[in-house]
Amino acid sequence: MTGTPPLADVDRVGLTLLYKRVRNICDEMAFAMMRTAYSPIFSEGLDFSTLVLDRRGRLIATAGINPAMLGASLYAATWIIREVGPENFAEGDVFVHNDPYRGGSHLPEHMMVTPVYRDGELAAFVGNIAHLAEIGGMAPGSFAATATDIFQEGLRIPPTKLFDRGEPVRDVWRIMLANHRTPNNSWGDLHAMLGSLRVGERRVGDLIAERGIDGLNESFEQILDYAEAYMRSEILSLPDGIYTGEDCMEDDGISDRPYWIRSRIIVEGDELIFDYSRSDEQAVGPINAPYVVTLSASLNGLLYVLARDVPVNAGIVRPIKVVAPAGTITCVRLPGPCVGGQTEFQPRIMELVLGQILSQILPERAAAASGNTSLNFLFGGVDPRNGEYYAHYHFEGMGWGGRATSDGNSAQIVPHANCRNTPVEIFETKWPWVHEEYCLNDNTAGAGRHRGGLGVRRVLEVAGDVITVSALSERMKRSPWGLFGGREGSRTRLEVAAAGGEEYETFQDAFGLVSPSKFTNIRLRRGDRVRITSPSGGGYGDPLERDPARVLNDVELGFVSRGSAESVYGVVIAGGSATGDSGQDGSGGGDGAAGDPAVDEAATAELRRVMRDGVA
Amino acid sequence: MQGGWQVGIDTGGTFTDLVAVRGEEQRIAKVPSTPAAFDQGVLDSITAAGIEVSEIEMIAHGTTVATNAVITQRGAPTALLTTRGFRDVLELRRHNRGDPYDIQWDPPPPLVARRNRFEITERLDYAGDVVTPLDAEQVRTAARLAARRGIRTFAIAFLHSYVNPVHEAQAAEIVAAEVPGAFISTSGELLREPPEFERTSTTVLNAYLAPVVSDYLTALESRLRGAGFAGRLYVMHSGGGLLTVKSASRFPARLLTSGPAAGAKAAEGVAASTGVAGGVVAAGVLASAEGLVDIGGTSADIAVVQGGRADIVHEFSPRFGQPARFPAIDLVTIGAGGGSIAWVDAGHLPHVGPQSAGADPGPAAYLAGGTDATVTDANLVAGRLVADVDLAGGITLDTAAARRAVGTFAEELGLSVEDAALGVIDICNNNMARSIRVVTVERGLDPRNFTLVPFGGAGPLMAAELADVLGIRRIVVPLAPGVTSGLGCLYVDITHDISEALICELADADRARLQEVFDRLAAAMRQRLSDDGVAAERQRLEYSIDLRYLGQVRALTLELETGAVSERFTEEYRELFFGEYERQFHSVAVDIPVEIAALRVRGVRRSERPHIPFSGSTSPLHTIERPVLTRGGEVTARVAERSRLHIGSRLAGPLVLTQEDSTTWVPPHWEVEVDKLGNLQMARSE
Amino acid sequence: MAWHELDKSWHDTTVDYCDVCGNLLIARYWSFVEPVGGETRRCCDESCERLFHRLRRIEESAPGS
Ligand SMILES: [Zn+2]
Repeated sequence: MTGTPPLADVDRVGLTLLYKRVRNICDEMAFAMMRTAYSPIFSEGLDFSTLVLDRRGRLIATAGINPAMLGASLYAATWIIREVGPENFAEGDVFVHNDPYRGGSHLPEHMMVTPVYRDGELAAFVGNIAHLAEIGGMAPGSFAATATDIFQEGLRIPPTKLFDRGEPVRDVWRIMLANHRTPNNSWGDLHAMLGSLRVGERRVGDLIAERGIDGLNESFEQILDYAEAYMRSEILSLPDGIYTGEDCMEDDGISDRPYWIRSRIIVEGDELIFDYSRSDEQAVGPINAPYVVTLSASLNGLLYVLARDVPVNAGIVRPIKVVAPAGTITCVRLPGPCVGGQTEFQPRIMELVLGQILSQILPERAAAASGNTSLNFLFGGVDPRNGEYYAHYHFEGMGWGGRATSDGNSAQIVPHANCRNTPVEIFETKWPWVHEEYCLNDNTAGAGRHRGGLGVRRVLEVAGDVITVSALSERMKRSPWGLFGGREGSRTRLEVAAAGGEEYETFQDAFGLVSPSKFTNIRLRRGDRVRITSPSGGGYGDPLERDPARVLNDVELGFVSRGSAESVYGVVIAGGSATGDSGQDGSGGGDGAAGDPAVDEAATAELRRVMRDGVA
Repeated sequence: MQGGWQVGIDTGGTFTDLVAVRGEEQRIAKVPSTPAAFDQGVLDSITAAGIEVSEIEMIAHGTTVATNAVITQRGAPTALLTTRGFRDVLELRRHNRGDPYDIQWDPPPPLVARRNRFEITERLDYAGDVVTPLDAEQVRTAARLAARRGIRTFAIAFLHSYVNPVHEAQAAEIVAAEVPGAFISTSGELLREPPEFERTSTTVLNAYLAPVVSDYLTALESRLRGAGFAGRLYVMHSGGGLLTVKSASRFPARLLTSGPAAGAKAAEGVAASTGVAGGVVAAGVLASAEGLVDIGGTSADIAVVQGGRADIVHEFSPRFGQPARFPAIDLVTIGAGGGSIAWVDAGHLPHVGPQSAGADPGPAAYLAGGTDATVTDANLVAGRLVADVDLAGGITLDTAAARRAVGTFAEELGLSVEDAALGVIDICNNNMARSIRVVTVERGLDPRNFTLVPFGGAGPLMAAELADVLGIRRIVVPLAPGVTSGLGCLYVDITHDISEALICELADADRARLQEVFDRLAAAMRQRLSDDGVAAERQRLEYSIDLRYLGQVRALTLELETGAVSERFTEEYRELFFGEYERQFHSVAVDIPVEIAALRVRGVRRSERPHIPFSGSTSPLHTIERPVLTRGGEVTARVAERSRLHIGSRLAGPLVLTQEDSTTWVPPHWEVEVDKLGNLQMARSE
Repeated sequence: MAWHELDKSWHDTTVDYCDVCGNLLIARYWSFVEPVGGETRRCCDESCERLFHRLRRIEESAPGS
């Protein structure tokens, strides 16, 4: 850094106070959106973000509810404003847009932005981004895993006025709603977004009244400078160098081939470059990333280990460059499809940055791979209970990777997002499915000194006449990787059993699909069952270094089998039942004649020695 | 026991507060809490107040014992019975995490270990119809196995039991027969609402806490009886009401925010009593809205009182991912207090808290090893705290140490020590203001119409400038701000809540069905109140309904005048819903159908608020002068002991009023008047 | 080495990208001529031109890293 400290001549106490108020406005906007939403994906899933921007359209603050939207939050509104031109806005205008080639993350995510004026002069903007549950396209739920261009993915809207000087532009509304399968839902959720904008408009209006337009925008500039300085000082703490890593998307739903992401991070002083230029060309199927998704993933990978308290705004990208040339899988060109880029590609890059690359510099803050797929499962049909059309976009939690000081957590949503599941009772009340099982998937965690977390298993039976299902997932051919000697986690499975049958087979085998993880519009009938199994996380460190007491505990809880305890962890357990899981059959720890299970210390030491040295 | 003491005792993590009244007599006490056996602190506080146990007519008790058991994981070993295929509901949670940017974040460990979660073959569908009957034999086997493992506490939570609790009731009977003396919580008895994780978590928390709470209350009661106590003992619950010892032992998860709820009730009481005594003008102001801030050493609890009542929410989580769905006073807790530490981040901006120096080592000024600058140090540097006064707990403050600590912080920022101290105070106030906005502005309320009621040792010190940030123009500082939770316990009465999910479009609602549900809830509520020994003529029932737009997930709760569903009910509540929705969210659509989500009934024992006597001083007021720093420059403030003020005394700022458990700072643009009840009524002068 | 307007008619809804970083070009772009090969590049601004030279320099000093 240079000799003069940043913000030297600034009232820093005042700046702290102002920034917190702006953050508070974002929180208020988010609260309004959550409380008034129609789709569970808003109110339960919390799949949205809220934004305050300066008069030039630069992001000043955001409510960081869904980290996956970071890239879009940083750029989408800015780009709309520049494309439209700030002079072409008027008081009461609301622009909507979901174009992934213009800063959107994928088509379902809609951004709204509205200018804030005082006495006829443009003062600032407020905006938000939210995932609409259904926006048309070739598959209900708008997650067309076999789309080969964007026109199959749903209705694309470049920056377009939804309100013109306070009046709804009805023609635009009608076009949008006519192209959505569940227009009532869209109507409600779009109004939740509008309500949130109104809250933001009022609060920013109060700020302008207090500080004036120029005063407020000068302070905004200082907030950006501050975030930049923060980021620079954190980057400066990293050793200079070039760090590389690679991972792949296992297929694109159209052909059976992987697409490689090749990444390097170049650290030079207080600046940092993410370079993806050696990655594969863009895919035919919808796994491509728009530029902002690659940007989001890169920054999130960094923010998960560095600068955790930095104010997230346009200042943080000043010392950072993301190189993702158009036409590669890291920056899709028209008409490439990209709906899965946001949910599948983004977490892959994020973990590549976090787990493979930054672990070289900061091993104590890194983690092994998580299940790392959103496991999108989409379905729609006519509900026999009321004759109405429904569609839903379902995602699943999974195991996360082991960490330097602790095991990976079980059943958490994909790392780049923070959505909630849809509870079984809500699920069965809203849609014609019946659950047979919803539980942790035992004996699958990647072994390690700190093991991975467990994935989830969900078994559902069709309770309507016909349900059309689609999926867009990953990690069915390649397992989540371990770190520093930790083992791989387990893979995703998507299986189906025909009505009356007991045998499960993969959707790929049952329906002759190209990809096991990406398919659209499979028609299931009453009584058919679906089994969704999410992946478990990779392990961190050598499993032979795991505390035997923790292995014993895992065996007692049923997370790890006795067999794996011996063969993978080298831990010999004596006493108790042979099966391990105490369950309710009474055979488990401490209830049978065999006495409490315990670690056989001597046998364990010997077994571990043999496993390490390979000599019996 | 006519004419005995009415005693409010709140046991917090650090101190046990007592406020007692009898006729025109009043006592307060503050003693250290005794975490090893909290009942000791309760008895200590009575002794410290100089009260004979045998002369106590009633004790209302707020206690941290439930919260403490959850945080330290010292509840009872518990078994959970679930629907087959769903034993992991508790551990799956909702899949989200407490901090989206922290990969090191861990969820709280499940309160029931997996081996003690038993799957039972049974199933209801979404409408509550039986699909698979309960397998009684499996329940028996599970109960026996759990008993063999030494478990006497059972939680039962089956899918869709909120619609139809039939299987849970059957299972509970079987467990009771198999394990005599077992404590059993069923989800349908506690919460008639989806979804399964929140309901299961609530049920498990309740079971897990039952033995701890019950043992504690039994021990406390028997020690009190042994000491000659012949009165009634009640326990404060999170919703701001009292439970008998028997009910508290049955619904222990209701005690999770017992203490802070008592603080909120004190604000209600202070507001109501000053409204009556303060004349027409005061009543006008206080009737609209009142606020509360409790600022202690490490954290501040904030609640809103509107129309004489604290706001209620329907869920509280002791930790993220561990919800208890019971009505609870809507409290926002933030890490801001006298011990909050000032620091500078990597981007060179200053912050205050949430890290705290706590009670040990405490602020640098305590001379107990702390070197970080804290809010207390900043106030000392600014001259608002007085160094040479003994504080509660025998602490004295050292100004030089405070200046050193604030000086280090000032250097990092390139500020003078004085400016840095004012900066710390400003940032701390702003943090609190942000939380107050959460419970006011986000709920569609304008804080400028509120009166601030500051509690806790540091509350009255910060209140005026905090009010300035929020545009609040009136403050009421209660008589003894440091023991307010004890006071709050005196302002509450027996209260129960029950509810039932009932989902249908408002327009199509069958009036007879609504009436039937309300009647059924009312009958159950009357039974609960009668069980607590409340005579029929003193039972008051309050009815409310949860409404939302069709398709929405979250609902608004609206109160009903009576439990009778009128003929115009549908139209009336549609309009009320639109009005409330507009107020909270600034938008409303009249063409979308409105849906009923749930019906609620609260049962309260009707009684009078106690009179808190105050006589005031009659001796002349003695003041000294000292310099105090303000944003407008250094001013000369008068310093006086609060206990020397007369009823009706009116003083203008700048003024520092000291008392044993607190200090009140009245800035230059504020004035203060002592009302008949001993409260300080503060108002902005211009 | 100059700024140029991106002239698009209102009914053209396509977009253009920076040749160096892949970011979106809006309203205007910065152009420069590659020293080797002499090709004209369109990019975000001067910082992307500098980035271009910097990546080339890294490539020359540590090929294939
Ligand atoms: Zn560029």
